[in-house]
Amino acid sequence: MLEDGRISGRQFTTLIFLIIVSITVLQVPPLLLGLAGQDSVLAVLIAVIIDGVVAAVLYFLGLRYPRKTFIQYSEDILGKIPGKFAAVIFIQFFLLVAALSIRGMSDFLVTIMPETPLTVFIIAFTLVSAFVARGGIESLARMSEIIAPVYIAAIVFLMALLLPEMDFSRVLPLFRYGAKPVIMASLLPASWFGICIIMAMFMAYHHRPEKTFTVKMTGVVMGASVLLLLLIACIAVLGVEYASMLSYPVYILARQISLADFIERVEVIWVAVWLLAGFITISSLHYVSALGTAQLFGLREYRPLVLPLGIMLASFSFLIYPNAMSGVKFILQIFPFYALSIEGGLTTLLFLIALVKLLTNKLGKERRR
Amino acid sequence: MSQKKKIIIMFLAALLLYLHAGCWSRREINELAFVMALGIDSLDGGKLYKVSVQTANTKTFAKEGSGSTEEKSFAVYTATGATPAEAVRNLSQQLPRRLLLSHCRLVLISENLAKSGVEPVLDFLQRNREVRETVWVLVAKGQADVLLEQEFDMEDIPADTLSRLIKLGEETSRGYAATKRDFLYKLTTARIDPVAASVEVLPDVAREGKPGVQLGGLAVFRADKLAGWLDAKETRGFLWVTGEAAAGSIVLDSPLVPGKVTFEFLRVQSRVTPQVRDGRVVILLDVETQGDLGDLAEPWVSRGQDNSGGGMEELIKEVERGVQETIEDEILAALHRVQREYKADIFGFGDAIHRRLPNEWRKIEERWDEIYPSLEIHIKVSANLRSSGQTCHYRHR
Repeated sequence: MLEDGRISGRQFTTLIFLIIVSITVLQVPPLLLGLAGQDSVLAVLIAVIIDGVVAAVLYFLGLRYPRKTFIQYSEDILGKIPGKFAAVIFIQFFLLVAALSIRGMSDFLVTIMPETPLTVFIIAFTLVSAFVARGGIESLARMSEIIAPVYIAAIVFLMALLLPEMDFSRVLPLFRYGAKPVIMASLLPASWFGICIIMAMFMAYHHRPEKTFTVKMTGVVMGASVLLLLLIACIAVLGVEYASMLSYPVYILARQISLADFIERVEVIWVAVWLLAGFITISSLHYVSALGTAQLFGLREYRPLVLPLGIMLASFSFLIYPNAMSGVKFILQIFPFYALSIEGGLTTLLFLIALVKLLTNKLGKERRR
Repeated sequence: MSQKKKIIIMFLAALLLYLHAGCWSRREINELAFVMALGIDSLDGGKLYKVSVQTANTKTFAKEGSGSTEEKSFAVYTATGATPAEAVRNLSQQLPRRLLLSHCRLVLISENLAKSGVEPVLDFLQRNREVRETVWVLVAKGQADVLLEQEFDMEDIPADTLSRLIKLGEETSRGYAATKRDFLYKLTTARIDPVAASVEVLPDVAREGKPGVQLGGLAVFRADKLAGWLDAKETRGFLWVTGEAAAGSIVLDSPLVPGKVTFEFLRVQSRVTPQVRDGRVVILLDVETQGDLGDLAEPWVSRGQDNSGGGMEELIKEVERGVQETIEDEILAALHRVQREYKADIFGFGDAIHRRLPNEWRKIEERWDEIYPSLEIHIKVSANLRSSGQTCHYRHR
């Protein structure tokens, strides 16, 4: 076995939760508010449903091919060559999202610390994630179990302090433009929630695979709730137009806290917990890309792949887009369709073929009788 | 662990010490100029921006208690540039220290610049990562740099004087100071127009050679351009409508008592409800206030006089009615000026319609600029006299 570790249901939940609340809460709010305005809240709910469908599909496949990651079972389903091809697509998707996350986080940190070169952040993130990825799934899962409560506590703390600044009448009107733009806009959060197809990698190491769907959706719902809370806070404190104008409204949101001229400048708390969550995300993606590559080529060990993949990741983070402005364009116009075609399209294709195979097998057996 | 490994770890640990010496881009206090207030003027008909910064003189803080105030506790530097950002950069030509804008309390925009549009200034303020969202955006009557040069009474640094004036002004319902966040929210939202407090120097009320300063009426913007001013009465009218009024007093002439009556209001609530009536959108405005008697002229004239409560109901009703009329009058004055003359929607009526009646809003959105000046507003004020203060005396004429 490449990986002997087992993770518990709670660890599964916290991993999925942190993956959602890190990069998604950084990139999604301004763009989503720009697309759907007050209806962003509904768009997130639709995105959760879309993600639930994908989760059900992967859950079915994971039960059908127990103790196998989808890199492995795509070969069983599609046959050797097309299966390897599908596996390559999954792996490069994880690599791309990892690079996007590293770049997104570094771009954000550069706006706070403009004198530090982007390189420093990118290399630091990659090195740390490589270190964790070498540790294997168990250490990753245990880390997430520690970080998730801290993250939740920090968000609750910040939201409570923001309450006096909120004007909830700004949350209205809902459904101003009808359903179609909301559904279109929901593709953006859905594409980011969709990173949770990483569950198909983790499910093979879940100690009770039959519970995977429940624990995964718990993580998604928790993560989506944090995103919802932050979106509502953005609207109530800053207003839709102002928030969508900002590059990082959640950071600006945390800057608004001022309680009795005493508790002020606490945005660093948010940056700290969010960095922890982002570090779990990057490490998870780094880990699954290394593990997936090892499984793809049938290697006995994935650890030697971690550092070379890290070098690829770091350079990929540089090359992915030239500046933060074109990054926004990429995330808004290209990423949702690219990501959903893999997260939704390729997984559904696997599912359908597996279903057809299952049914023909059954029919064949009956006929033989 | 082998001997070799131990040595390597020791060596690496020693390397860490270098990192502990401090930050890469650390900035020590004696290398910084703490900007307390930022003033922005326009020159050459808007082609150039003139930025002035009021910096705290940290040296005078160290000599606390010595009493010798020969050295000024602040200094003002100015520079010009084609954009606000360039002008701030150009300050370094004369200011030997690095600017720190994080402690900036207020941004003063000159009247001329406000008239030609403040968007470039606010864009600069939003992009800059040091300027907090809580800085006040103020309009200076006259030039901003001249105002920043002025030394005022009481506080060592004029920016402190101004920010205390603003706080007190808000607490006594004399003004409303928009923070950068408020201003940008209203500027970016097409359905509300921004307002800002104004500041003016009063050279006539000089004390020990230092002129007085006061928080003037509101500066009304239409989109990002200054449309005009509100006087004290209209400013309070604005506060009634938006519910920003906190506490203050209303003086009444009452036929029931010989002199004047002061009503001290403490709590104010307002509600803006758009409604469709006969196919047209109208605004229902409810204002509720609660307060106490502040004073009652000549209540003591005859000692031991009737204290049994006769005529009390009439007096309460009379005061409440008088307060309602005054508030209505102030609101009408503000509405008239803003709606008809400046045509700026500083009350956010458009936004209220957008929120509550989104379908109606879609119909009138395009023509809003034409509809707004003749928008019908129904005002309903209710005042509640809560107590007569620490005395129960009053005199019935």
